[in-house]
Amino acid sequence: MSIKRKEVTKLEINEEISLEKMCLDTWKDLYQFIYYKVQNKEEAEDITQETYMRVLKYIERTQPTIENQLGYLKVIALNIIRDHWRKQKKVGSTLQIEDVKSECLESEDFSNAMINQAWIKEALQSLSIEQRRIIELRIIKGYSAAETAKVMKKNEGTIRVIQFRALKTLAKVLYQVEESIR
Amino acid sequence: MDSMEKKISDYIDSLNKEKRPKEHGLYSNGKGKEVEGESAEYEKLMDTVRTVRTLKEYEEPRVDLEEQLLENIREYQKSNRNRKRLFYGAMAAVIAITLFVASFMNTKGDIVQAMVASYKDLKAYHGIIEIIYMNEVGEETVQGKREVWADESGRYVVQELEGSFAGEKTVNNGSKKWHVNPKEKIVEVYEAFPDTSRFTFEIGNEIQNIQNALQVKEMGEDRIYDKPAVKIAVTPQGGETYYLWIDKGTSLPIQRETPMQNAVQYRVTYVELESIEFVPEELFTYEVPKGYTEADRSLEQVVASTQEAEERLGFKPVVIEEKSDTLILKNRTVDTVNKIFKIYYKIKGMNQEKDGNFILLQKEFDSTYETTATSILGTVNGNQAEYIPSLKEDGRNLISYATSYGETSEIALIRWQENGYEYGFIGDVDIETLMEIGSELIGREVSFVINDKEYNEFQPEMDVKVDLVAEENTQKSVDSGSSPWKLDPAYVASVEASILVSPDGIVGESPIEYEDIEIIYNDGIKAIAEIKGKDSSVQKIYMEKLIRKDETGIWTVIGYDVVE
Repeated sequence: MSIKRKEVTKLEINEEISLEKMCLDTWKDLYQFIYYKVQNKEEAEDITQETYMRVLKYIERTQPTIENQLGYLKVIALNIIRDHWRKQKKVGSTLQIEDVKSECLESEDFSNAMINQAWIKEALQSLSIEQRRIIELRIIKGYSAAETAKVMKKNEGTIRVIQFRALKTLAKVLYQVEESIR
Repeated sequence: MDSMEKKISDYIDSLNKEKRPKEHGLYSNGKGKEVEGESAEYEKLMDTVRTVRTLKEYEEPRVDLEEQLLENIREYQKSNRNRKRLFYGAMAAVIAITLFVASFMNTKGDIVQAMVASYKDLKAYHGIIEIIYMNEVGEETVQGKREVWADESGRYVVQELEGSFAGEKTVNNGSKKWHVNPKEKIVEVYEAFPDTSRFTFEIGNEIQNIQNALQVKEMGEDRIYDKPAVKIAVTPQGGETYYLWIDKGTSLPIQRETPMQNAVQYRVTYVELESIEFVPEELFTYEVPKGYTEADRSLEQVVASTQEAEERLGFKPVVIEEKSDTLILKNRTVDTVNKIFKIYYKIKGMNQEKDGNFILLQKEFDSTYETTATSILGTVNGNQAEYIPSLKEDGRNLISYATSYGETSEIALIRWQENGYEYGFIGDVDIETLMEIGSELIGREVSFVINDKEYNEFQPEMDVKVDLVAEENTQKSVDSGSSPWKLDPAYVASVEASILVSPDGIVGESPIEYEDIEIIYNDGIKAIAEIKGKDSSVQKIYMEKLIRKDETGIWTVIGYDVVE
């Protein structure tokens, strides 16, 4: 993706129609991308809206020519997520829209979902059968702790303990893989 | 059980319900709750949960999201066009509009939408309001009962029926406001606008508060005086959550209950409320009952023309450059004691559901003029100007406003000095409208920077560690009336600078006086104070509203520059 500044841009020529068109062309993919990052509908909807608001302000201020609209929007969305999550984590840095290189975005994009899925499934294999079953029920199937307890014939407290240990194991495996990739 | 086990389980539950977990922080629409930083281990666990969850199919957004996004863009462009009108020529006002808040408003439940629609159709209403006082053990006392009449143009009549004010009457007929006191046998007369003190539980005011609220939540069904009602919880931008009951039949608010503050709580109810076509005109007729004296509390006298104003005041009134279709001239007044000229306008439309009011004010130079520390700074025609979002927050220095009686409504002011005069734009409208009308009327460049996130001078040399929990507690105590100085950036800066100069404690007089502080930047969210005192080792203090980003939010010092 690259962003150039010009004195006259397509967006300036027919700004209002272009912005609506940009929204119509991109919002579904953008929402999906954000959902992938935040994993809940409420937040994904809010960030999708905020992303377009930010892009409007950015366009108004700098009048850039945007060649890869979706990529551009994803960078902004990532910055919004980081801005807010950073308040808790106190880590991470804001991506400057002008400085973003396509490869940087690709690594954030998780566009190769197949590889990711294989990686996660492999990590799940590091768990015991019982742990894996509980993680599948709780996180992938979306069962409550009570429902999971019923299926597994255990009490809720035990489910939470097993779930916690399983996540710690998974975190270790996933972060190890991530660090070795870096 | 380990608390982290419970926390991560709750985190999974939030995601499963497709709700934002509290750990994900605060967004610009005010949703979510800011929380303390989590441990690195917990961060890893949350990341892991989200990573595993990507194996699950993603949840489709709500069906109207596309329409909402387009609506947001159109709203933004509409407001952008308004700004462009304001900026034509050399005008350069920079405003970051919190449109996201506006878009959030659109998502506030059907009941609120129905209420807004119902109010739009309401031409006038008549009701009986009962005010109940409740103490912390739940004992209730009827504090007052009053009959009210109000219409869509903002005129109203309030007749006190029971309580310590029984028999008193307040009327605002759009031209003047008066208060009849039978005990004192006096009729006090005020200007009709600005009327910063209208009446409790005014329906338009309630609906505006809901529209401006951070969050509105339906709490279920209830019955109020045998009428089926929906109870909603309203969390305003500044303050604690209160409850409102909406009549299901009329979609209008009929009861409000305040949060318990300092062991006191109020419940205000329309025990009767009817929609009417108009308020009987005779109720708006001004008359002084026999045996009563008239006390004119207004120093203003209506003049027929600017020529007459000039003759009475001895200075030339400002030239009006443009007459907008949206503005209707009501009258011109002079206050010969304070040397003030005012032109009153009624605003039609202007993105508002009901008419608004606007005053252009001109006053002869006054050496006592000084900017209000809590105001947002900008420029008009290159002169330093200040924007005060709510006159009720700070009446100091401001030119003769109404008494504190009953409830207040938001009236904003932009003022500045230029060529020996003080000028002001006063109105019950938002800053954009205030700027647009004012600058078009008299052809001045108006520039205010509201919450400029990219302000690049906001880089303190030294950071101050902030305890957010302590700040939250301070905000709560300020909300309940304690330490109001925390709302004043100059005062906060003087205290912080004094502490930095005397780290072992201040003995005797404070080394840095309030007068030593000059606010050199204030966009409403961030502020920079410069220390003028020669004893100070600190040159600049950087402050930010970390807990609540409106005029009720406290200022927190986040850094400073030392004297070189």
